[in-house]
Amino acid sequence: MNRLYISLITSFAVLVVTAQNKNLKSQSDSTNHSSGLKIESSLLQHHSQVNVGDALYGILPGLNVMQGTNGTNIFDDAPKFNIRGLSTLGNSNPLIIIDGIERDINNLSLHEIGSVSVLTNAVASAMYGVRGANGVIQITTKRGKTGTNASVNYSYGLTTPYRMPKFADAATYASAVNEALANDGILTPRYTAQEIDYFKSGEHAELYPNVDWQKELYESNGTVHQVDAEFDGGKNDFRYYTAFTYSNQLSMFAPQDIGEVYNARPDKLHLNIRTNLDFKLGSTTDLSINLLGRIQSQTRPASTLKDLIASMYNTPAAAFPVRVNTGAWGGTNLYTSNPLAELSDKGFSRVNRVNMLADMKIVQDLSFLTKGLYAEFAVAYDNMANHLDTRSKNYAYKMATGTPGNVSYQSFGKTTELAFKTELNSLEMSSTVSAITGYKFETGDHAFDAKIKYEQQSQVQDGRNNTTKRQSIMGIVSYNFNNKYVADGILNYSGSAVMPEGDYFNLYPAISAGWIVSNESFFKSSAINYLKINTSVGLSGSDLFGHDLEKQFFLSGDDYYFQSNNQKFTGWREGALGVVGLKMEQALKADLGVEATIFNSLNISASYFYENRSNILVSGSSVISGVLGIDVPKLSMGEVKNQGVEFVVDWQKKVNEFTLGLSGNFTYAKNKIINMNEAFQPESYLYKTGNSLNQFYGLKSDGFFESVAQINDPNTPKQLFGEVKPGDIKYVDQNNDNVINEYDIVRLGYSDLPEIYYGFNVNVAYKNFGISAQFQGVANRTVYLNESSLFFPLRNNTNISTWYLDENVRWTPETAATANLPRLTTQDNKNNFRANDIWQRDGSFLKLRNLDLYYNLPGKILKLTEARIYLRGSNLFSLDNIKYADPEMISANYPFMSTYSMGVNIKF
Amino acid sequence: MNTMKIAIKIEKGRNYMNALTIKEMGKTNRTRILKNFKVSLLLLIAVTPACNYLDFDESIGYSQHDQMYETFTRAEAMLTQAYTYLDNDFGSIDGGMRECATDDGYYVWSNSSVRNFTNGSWSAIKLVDAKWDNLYTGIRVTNQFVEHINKADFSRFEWNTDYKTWIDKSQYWSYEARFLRAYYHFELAKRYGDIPLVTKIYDINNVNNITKMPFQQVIKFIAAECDTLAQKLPVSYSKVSSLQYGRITKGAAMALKSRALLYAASPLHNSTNDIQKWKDAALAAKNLMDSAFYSLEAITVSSVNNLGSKELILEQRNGTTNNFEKLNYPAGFDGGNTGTCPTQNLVDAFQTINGYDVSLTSSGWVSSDPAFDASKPYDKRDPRFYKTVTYDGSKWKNQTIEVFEGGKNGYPLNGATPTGYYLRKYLIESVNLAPTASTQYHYWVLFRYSEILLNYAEAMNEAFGSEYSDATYKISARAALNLIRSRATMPIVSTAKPVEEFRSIIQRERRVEFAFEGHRFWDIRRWKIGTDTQSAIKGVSIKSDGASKTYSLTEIENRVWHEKMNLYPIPQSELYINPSLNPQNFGW
Repeated sequence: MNRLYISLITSFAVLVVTAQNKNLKSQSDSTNHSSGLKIESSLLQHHSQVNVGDALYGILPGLNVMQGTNGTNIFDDAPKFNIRGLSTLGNSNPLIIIDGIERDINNLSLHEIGSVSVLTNAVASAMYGVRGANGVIQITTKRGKTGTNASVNYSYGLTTPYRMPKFADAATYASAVNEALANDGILTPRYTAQEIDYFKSGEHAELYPNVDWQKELYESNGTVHQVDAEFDGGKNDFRYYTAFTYSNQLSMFAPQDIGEVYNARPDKLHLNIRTNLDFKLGSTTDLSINLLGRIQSQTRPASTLKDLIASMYNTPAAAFPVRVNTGAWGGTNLYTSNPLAELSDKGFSRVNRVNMLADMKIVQDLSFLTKGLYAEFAVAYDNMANHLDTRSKNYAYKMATGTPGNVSYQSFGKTTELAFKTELNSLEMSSTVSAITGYKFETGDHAFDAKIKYEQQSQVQDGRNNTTKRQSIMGIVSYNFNNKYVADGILNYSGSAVMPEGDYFNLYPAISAGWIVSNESFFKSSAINYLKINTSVGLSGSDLFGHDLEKQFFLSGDDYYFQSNNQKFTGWREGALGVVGLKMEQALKADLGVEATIFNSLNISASYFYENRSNILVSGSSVISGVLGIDVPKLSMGEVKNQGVEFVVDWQKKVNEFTLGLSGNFTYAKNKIINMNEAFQPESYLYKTGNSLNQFYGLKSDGFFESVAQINDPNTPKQLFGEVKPGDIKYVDQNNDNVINEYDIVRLGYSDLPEIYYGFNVNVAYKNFGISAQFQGVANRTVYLNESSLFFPLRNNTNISTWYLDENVRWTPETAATANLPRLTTQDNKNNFRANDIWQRDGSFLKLRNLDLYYNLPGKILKLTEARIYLRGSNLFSLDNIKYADPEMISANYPFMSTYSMGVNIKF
Repeated sequence: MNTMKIAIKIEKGRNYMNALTIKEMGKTNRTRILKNFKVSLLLLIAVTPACNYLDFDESIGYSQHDQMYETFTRAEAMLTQAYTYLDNDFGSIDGGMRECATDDGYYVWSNSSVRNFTNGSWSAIKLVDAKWDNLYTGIRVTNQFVEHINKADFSRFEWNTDYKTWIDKSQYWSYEARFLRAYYHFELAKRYGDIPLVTKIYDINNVNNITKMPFQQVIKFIAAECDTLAQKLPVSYSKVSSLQYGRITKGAAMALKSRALLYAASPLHNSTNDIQKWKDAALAAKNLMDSAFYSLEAITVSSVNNLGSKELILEQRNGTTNNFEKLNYPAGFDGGNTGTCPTQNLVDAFQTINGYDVSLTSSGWVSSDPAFDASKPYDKRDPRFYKTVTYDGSKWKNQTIEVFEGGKNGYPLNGATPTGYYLRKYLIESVNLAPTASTQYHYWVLFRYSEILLNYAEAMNEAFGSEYSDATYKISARAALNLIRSRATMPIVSTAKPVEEFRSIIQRERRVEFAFEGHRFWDIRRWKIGTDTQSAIKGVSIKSDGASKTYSLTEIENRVWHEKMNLYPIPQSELYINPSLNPQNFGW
């Protein structure tokens, strides 16, 4: 604790040195550290997304939002956030602060949000100490205004997949299999011409089915209903904001009614009630209380959605009928899951989630002691529980075999009763306590705001070693000289319980400085209304790694058998050695920026940012000899550098009844691995160190083999991944050893996380009509098309898509000159199906994320203050190079949806 | 937090402030600020909970070595772990048996890394059978056990009813661990030659400069350990407790010594042909022969997968599985995957029952045996042939195998054997893969008595020739070999042979006796016969016209062999981390 004292003293000293002037004057928070553009609720009002994250694509500079998939529950698909690119080999999740407390963004509803901002600069990061390094998304909820206001909103939307893969029909599939077998050297086709005709004509469909599985499982669209109502008002000493949201989302899955007591159609409904209260207790004390209660329930089939969709993609149209003629589910010994039965007849799983979020803050003005002195105390208590209710069963299915007119059935599987399982899936309790004493004063041209803040935070989750506890004490000083020079300084002594005892705390200092050039007397420009140059530098940390890493534990080991009857014995083994010299991951951040307002209508800003992340936990096994004989601990030795630029433009113009607004932001971030303890590599180009995180690597192709003679030519490098045949991918021998193996792998393209991220918004309003469109795009991004059936066809009895058959040219002896994909094969073919540039695509895209067309009803109809009707759409189009699948989702998952909704919003 | 302490700190803080006081600061001002300051501090203290807020421990489990030796069961489990590094070869190299890297076998699937042994891609960076880390893990486990078990104190269980049983069992524990440590060192030495000999626990600070010990010294250590352990370990656990079956016995220690000394005397490690090394090897084998712990069974008794065999010295045990059957059942059977295929090279090594050689040449089957019928080339062969190979016309699971073109187990079936043979040894025919799968216990033979006899025959022949015997070496090399042949109901070698000729007889005998038991791979290395034997891999192609079959020789592949392959390359990453492991093995 000695270090904590020292920190306290240092903070006090700083405070007192700056608190020297007696001319105190309370002033509003004029600090400089909350950098980054703030999005007010007015911009979000054009959105109807149920998940808050889905409304944030491309809106905030520096905030990289990419679509994400959950895989289990489709409505839990929430986007992933990154701030200013990627800087760590470890966890890069930014900190999300809601009303001052770390919270899950998915607990919020869109209309509750008052403002969203992204904190990127060094001072803001240092303020959050051991959680600040990944950047901070700061959200505040709405507060009551005086008077009485009410607003009711209802919208109804249809969701349809923006892009959906198409698979070959049965006849096409059968011909493709025959072609593949011929390519593999098996000259007896699996399907005769007669059989292919049956597939085409639909005759004897029980034996020769042609099933479009997506059609069987999906309806044309899903739906979403949303109702929300907001009330706020009050007088000077009491204000309230209260909101209610109900939403009901229904997927486009359509389970067959099989007379069971349940319906497994995936859906999700949620209900939020928020109340934010502000009281004035006497003349010097303010109290605010925020409460959020939320319940949520979602259903899915007992099989996870990802498995279900994979089985739908991987089952060929020709495999088996949905049901055989006896009425039993179809299936075969090879294809053991019937997608429709998986959806309809396996039971269901329901997750109920309840949340209660509560926080309270008291601000006490201590001017009666000394003018400008104040204190704040805040406490928050959140809890969450997930309850999982699963009722699962199995189904029997039959395989029809034989010839037309002579069909026999073979039975598989067993129909079982619904089995019940109910469990408390997860439980989480968090509490945060913080206290601030601050002192604001001004003298002449100097204004100061100094404060000391103490904060402690605890999140207790079920299970072991899931608890996180953090503690921080910091001194923050803001200085303003006549609105010309502004500066912030912070010293944060911040600790986390993941570190070993005695090493909990680290000191995070940061400073920022700004010069508002336009406020200088020498600055005279009618064009430039505002000009500011600012810079910051400082340290912050990240504690997103596991507990007890410094300790070694004994683990359950392997099995061996003794005794005359060969009994199983299980060993105990030594777990990995404890980390020696564990350090908190540390970020050194610096930036330099300029902001300007031109002609009172155009705001622009540009900044350069730099980050050096060190002490990242990386594998130690590559630097410790295997003779040690035990798993080597990770070591705090990783280092990554990340830098880039960011631009923001905002232009608003109003001419008569015509309003036009354009705003846009652009971020370019490029990172480089400085050290990751990489093992020895035989060729210099094989090192990942020096390249970007998540960089794609693979073999460089050199066309396709034309002939057996070419393959056997001693000058042709030997490809060692497996037997090659004409039509297989030929690779470039990078090290000229006349052999193609893992040592010919090179860097290809970029990574899955784009280097360039941008967004722009167009707002046009004329009289009562208006349009708001939000675009978002990325560039310098690479995707790897490796999903079976969709891109890798037929192998291991999977399916084939029209991407392979129609959208591209596969190799056949006839198309050898123009082919861009290798020959068809039924085999595993490790030569073709591996990371290489054939399967790699430019992952850049530009998407229309949101479009809002609205009409404000004229006059005060029915005494309403305002009534608006609107048509909205999200994810309406994408310009990209994939075309076939969503560039953000190339795997087998529930497709990302376009939403078309209409709604009405009435204000009283 | 202690308020007293804080107060003192504030005083110090005040002095510090004074030093920093800026000139305009008036005295009253200063006082007031300090007052404010104390107020704010009090507010702060009010909300500051205990300093140990971050101290909590949610960990469970044992984190100290001593805890693992507190009870008998936990200590026993620590030893159990030491056994798990014993390896088998039920397709241990990416599905293929080790023999697929010799002239005895061919792995049908080209994507298995067992092919890397023979296709030229094997190198210090592209490792095959990379056991370096795994074996050193096993060694660490044994070292930890040996170090801690001797300090363990179980006396507080003295009044427990099962105390005596535990004491009986635990008296051998440290010797078992020491045997395993010696065995794992041997596994390393036969692969890498000179290796670090590790008999203590290293940590990350001192392991990176460990040095290698010459092969012969490693063997010396192993032999000395085996001598000590043979004094301590029981001949059989039948008198201790039947619960101890499957553990290390005296015989195992003696067998390891025999094998280790034989390897040390072999040309690869004995370039000067020091005869004393052969004599030592012969003596080690002879001691075990004299003990009469083990004896040969009739040929009808399975020598593998058989815990009841009198020949069995030590086995590696497994649970009930059908993995090996899944890998190797012939194509054409439900779930058949073919896997490891015996070669024509191996089949040619099996003589006729009358002791004549047979081979398939480009002009067909050739044998000097007058009783040999080229139209029934698999009839009347060495009985061991039928226990090793499934061939065209043989029965498997009551079905006749058809390897001929168009046959149900032959070309063009996907995965049909390219050599014309399927594996039989070690496969348990009663295992079903479909429609309902069944499983069986599998036991991998680590040492069996036949090896000791053939070790003796080989060492004696090299030391003294085929006929020598005396009071110490009671039987001759030829007599020892003939024990094996007689058991196989094969004609004995009836006359004295020159050393070279008898050497090749022994080499062939080892090959057919131990086919697919994991010996050939190492034997060709220690004998340094790779250049002569490890290039052309042959198979048979059979055509049937219904009435008769024609057999023709096919070339399966031409393999890459270099003399450097007699030893494994030390992983390049290890040399990179620890340069004292240099030099790399010759040629790599």
